[in-house]
Order: sequence, then C-alpha cells, then structure tokens
Amino acid sequence: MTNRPSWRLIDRLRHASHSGRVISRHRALRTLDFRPASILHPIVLMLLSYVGLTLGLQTIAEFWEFILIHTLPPLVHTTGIFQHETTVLGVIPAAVPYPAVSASVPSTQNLLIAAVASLSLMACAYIFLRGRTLPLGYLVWAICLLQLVACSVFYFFGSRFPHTLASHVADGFSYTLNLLFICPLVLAVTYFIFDIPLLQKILGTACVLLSLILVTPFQYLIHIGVIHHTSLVAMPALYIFFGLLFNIAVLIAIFGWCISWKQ
Amino acid sequence: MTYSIFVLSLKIMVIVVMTVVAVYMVRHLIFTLNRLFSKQRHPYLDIDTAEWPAVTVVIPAHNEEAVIGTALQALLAVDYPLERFNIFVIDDRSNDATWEIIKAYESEHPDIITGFHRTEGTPGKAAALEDISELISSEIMIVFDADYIPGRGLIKQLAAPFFDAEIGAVMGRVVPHNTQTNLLTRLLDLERAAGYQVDQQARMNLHLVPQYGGSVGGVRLSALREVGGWRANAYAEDTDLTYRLLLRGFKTAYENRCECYEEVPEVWQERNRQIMRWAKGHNQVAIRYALRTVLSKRVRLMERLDALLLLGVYFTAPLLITGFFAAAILYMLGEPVFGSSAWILAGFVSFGTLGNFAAFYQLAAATHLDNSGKRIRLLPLNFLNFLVSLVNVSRASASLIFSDYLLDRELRWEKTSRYRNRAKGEEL
Repeated sequence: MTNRPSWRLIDRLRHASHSGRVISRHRALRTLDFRPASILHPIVLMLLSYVGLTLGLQTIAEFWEFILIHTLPPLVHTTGIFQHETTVLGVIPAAVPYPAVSASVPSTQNLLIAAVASLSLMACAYIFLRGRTLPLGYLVWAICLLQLVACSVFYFFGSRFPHTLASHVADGFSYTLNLLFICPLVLAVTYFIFDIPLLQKILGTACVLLSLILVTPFQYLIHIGVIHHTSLVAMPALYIFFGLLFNIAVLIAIFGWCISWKQ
Repeated sequence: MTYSIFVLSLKIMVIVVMTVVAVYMVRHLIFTLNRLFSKQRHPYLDIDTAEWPAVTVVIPAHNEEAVIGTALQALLAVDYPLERFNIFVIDDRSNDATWEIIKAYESEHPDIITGFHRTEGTPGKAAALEDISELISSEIMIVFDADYIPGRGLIKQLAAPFFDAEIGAVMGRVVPHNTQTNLLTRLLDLERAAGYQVDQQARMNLHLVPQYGGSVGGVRLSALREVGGWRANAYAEDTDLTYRLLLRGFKTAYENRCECYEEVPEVWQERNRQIMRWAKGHNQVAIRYALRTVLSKRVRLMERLDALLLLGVYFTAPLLITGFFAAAILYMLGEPVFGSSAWILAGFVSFGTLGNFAAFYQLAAATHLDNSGKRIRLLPLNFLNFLVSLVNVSRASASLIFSDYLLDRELRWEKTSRYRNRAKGEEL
C-alpha cells in the first residue's frame, strides 16, 4: 500500500513558495476556514458571557449605585437612591438604582427658550458648519429638529408626557442591562466567528461589556444634571441621541477597536 | 378619536420600518457569513490562454484633464492582444484641455486610440455611451471612468466571463486610491470595501444579482442592443442596464479579483451630489422595473427577491427618518410600540447608522478579508457618513418624485469632481 500525502499537506504545499515561505492568497479569494472553533467559540463565549453577566448583575447595579451616591450630591439635591425592579430581556429579574430627583414640567417660557435656542443653533450650524464639518452640522440639525418636535409635543400634548427624571434614569439603566445581555448574541455572529485567538476574543468581549458598564452611570449623571437644571423638555433629545444610541455607539467603537487588534 | 388615529398611524409606521430594517439586517448577515465561510464563486478566474474576443474600452470624459492622461497610459500598458483591442475616448463638451490631451494620445497611438469630440446631443455619460455604441464593432464594450487606473491584467479578467454566453455584463472591484486624503475618503474606502468585497461577492456566490456598476465593467454588445442600448434619460444607466439584462435572461458576473483604482470624493458637498445621483438613479430604476421584476418568469425567485431588496436600498433612508420621528413622538406621548420606543430607535440606528447601507459587521468582514484591520477603527465615525447619506438620499427621493416626475423636469446629470494634481489645501 502506498503512503498518500494528506490533503492538509497538499493544501499547505500549494501555498508555499520554493523557499518554503507562504504565498498568501489574494484578498479577493480569501475566506475563513470553517473549523470546529468557528462554532465552538461563539457558543462557549456566548454562554460564558451570559453566565458572567447573570452572576454579575447585582455587582453591576451596585457599582452604578456607588457612582450615583458619590457623584450626585454636588450636582443636584436628592433624597436618596432607590431600587427599581425590572427584568432583563423579560426573563431575568434585576434591580437598577435611580435617584429621587425631580425636574420641572416645561412652562411656555421654557418651551419658547428651547425652541429659539434650537433654531439659533440650526442657523449657526448652517452658516459655520460647512466643508469638512458638514456632517457635524447635520448632527446638530437632527438634534435641534428633534428638540423642536419635542417642544411642539409638550406644547400641544404636554399633559400626556408620562416620564419623570427618576423613571428616565431607571429606564436608562434598565435598557443598558438589556443591551449588555444582547451583546453576547451580537458578538457571537459578528466577532466570535473570526479566526482570532480565543484569548483575544475573551479580552475583546470584556472590553465591550466593561465599557458599557463604566460609561453608563456617568452618561446618566449628565442627563440628570441637564434635565434637572433645565426642565423635562430636554429629556427627549437626551433620551434619543444620548441614551441607548450613545451606548450602541460606544459598543461599536470598542468592537471596531478590538477587531483591529493585531493577531 | 383624532388622537387615537394619529397614534395608531405612528405605530403602524414604526412597525413597517422595523420590519424593513429587520429584513435588511438578516440579508446583510447572510451575505457576510456567506462571504466569510462559503466556497467563493470565481468561475472565470483561471482563463489565461484563449481566443480573446475583440474588446473596445470606452472612456466618457467631461473636463477630465487632471486624470485622462493617466488612464490612457495605464490602458496602453495592459496585457491584451493589440489587434483585438481598441480605446474610444469621448470628450463630452469639455471646456478644459481634455480634448487636447486625447488628440495627443490619438496621434501617438492611432491604431489603438480613437477620440470623439461630442458637441451636441443630451449631456451625460449615458447619452455619450448611447452615441458611441453605434460605432463599436467589437463583441465586448468595457467602460471606464476617466479617473480609473487599470492594472495590466484587468482587460483579460473582465473579458473572460464573456466566454459564457449567459453573461451580459461584468463588474470588477473598485478600489479608492486617494484614501489617505482625509476622513471622508477613508470612510468611503470602508464603504466601498464592504460593498464589493462582501456584498457583491456574496451575491455572486449565491447566484443572485450582482450589480453592474457602470465602470470597471463590460457589456456584451449584442446583449446591450437586444435590451435597447444605453438609456440617456437614466440617472444610473448602470443599474438600469443591470435590470434590463436580468429581465432578458442575461446575468451579470462580478469579478472580485479585477481591481481597478478610482478617486472618491474628497469634500462632503461632492459626496452629497454623488449620493443624490445614485439615489435618484436607483429609485428611478425601482419605479421602472420593480413590478416587471416581480412578475418576470425568466428570473428565478431568489433573484427576484434579491433584485427587489437591491432596488429598495435607497428607499430605506426616507423610511428610516419617518420611522425615527414617529418612534420619537410615540415615546414623548408615552405610547411605546412593543414595550419600549428606545429599542425601536436603537434598532433603526444600529442597522443603518453603523454601516451606511453596509452593516457594521460587513465592514468588519471586509477589512478583515482585506487584511487591513486598522481601518475598522473608523467604524463609530461612519455614523457621520450615514447621517449625510440618510439626509441626501431622502432629498434625492423627494426631488425625483416632486421635482422630476410631478413637475416633469428634464434630467440634469452632474459629474463628480476630480482631485488628482490639485494642490493640497486648495479650496474647491
């Protein structure tokens, strides 16, 4: 019986030059090898992430509470930090902290000031944010347009606005917890599938999750400060542009950084 | 009662947009996974020795003095049998030195280069191509923009698929070469990478509908004539042709290995004009061919589905804006859809924001396959590119319907500016 070389050896030889170095495939033809790790890594890392997050839920909430307790007093007067019962993904019970702070319902004067400020900002953006800064101008316009819509809604349907500053913060923390629990699933199909060393994937996952955990309390501190000192009219713009959207932007930024690491 | 109807209509809008977003998310994910793991389809890659067909390279040029010389020099250096190779350069009413440069090259290489000076007729690339097609006797017509720099083997790579009688058009990969200029060019480089390296190749792998892009691509003349030639009244003559060929039973082949270099816009205003032109063109094709594509018995079911989703890409922008404000108003009224408006808003934005019609995971896959991982660090800044595209695509859609169709305005074609040889820092 003759000894036949293995297909792996043949495949390696096809991509080796006469001096033994590797001839790398043209990028147009490159693919990832589908190995057991391509399935195992996503499953294992996803499960590990979920176990870690579930076990660490209370620690995360306590950390957020710690930050609020130690940073709120100089900013706003609060009678205490309370717990809001919630569920993560509708399944896992959790409690998130929220401060007992209030914000005033916007008066007509507040609405007028907000509307004039928005229009002025839009005008300034139109005049000054051109050329290289054009996208920033678009961003300013988007935020200001939303603020104008908010002013209109408050003016016509102000009594229907159901959110308070306390519920805003509680909801924000709750959404971030939900986002944290969605992360492993998203990473499973967008990050864990790549041919990157396991350790790098673990580090990357930790970076993504930790960044969200660390940023969130400070993010909502800013919300509290702005809304408390202006009025509820500032809440929609903060909720929409600097709430979950901001968290997702952080997630994507860290994801992009992690996936760019040298292998 | 009015309030209830108002809230209900907002909720329906949000649900519709969420559904559309979800469909495109799944589509992009399938394409990404296919590109990363599946067997890649390159059926014409190994054709090296053959009885090569006669090819005419056509370059429409309007005020291209900065770039036309480089393009012609590169084409003169390609590896293709000279007796089967012609270059037709059309100067379309330039008011710079384009025609003089073309004449100079023509006089040096009269057997290969023929210049045409177009002084009348409908302006624009499609009209120029329509005029010149009648003069071409070769089997294959390959179109290049004047700023493209082809490699030596490119013409053979583009001609090879035409040995397959089913192929009506071929498209190669467009790679920006001015990526280091500024943030915009880097973001556009990312966008192009995802669009070609992942999206187009996945559609080729899955036997769907790769898109002919109008440059770095070729057309079979007999197929072109069968479907009525170039359309001068099309904003996007390339997309228009893709669908006419598809409906006639011809396929478009995508050759990921055929790389050709182009200039991408270096200023946002130019990018706005470009994206608006693409959006108008795409939406115009959608209006013309969507129904015919659905009803066509020549086109397979999956091809029809992909073709429709491709046509819908530029309609998602105004939908997203509308859905975004609808969800925001519902949040303010305390009337969430599916329990939380935040998720809906985040869902919209996650899909489109972080990808600019190519989701963030497509961008990541493209840079990984290109082995240029550091580019992906620009990912969060892609939000800016998306925002600009979102607004301008919506403007273009509104302009097409209200200005062009309702007010019956004539097509006005605007070309992209060129930057090569321009001094750095010079205001445009």
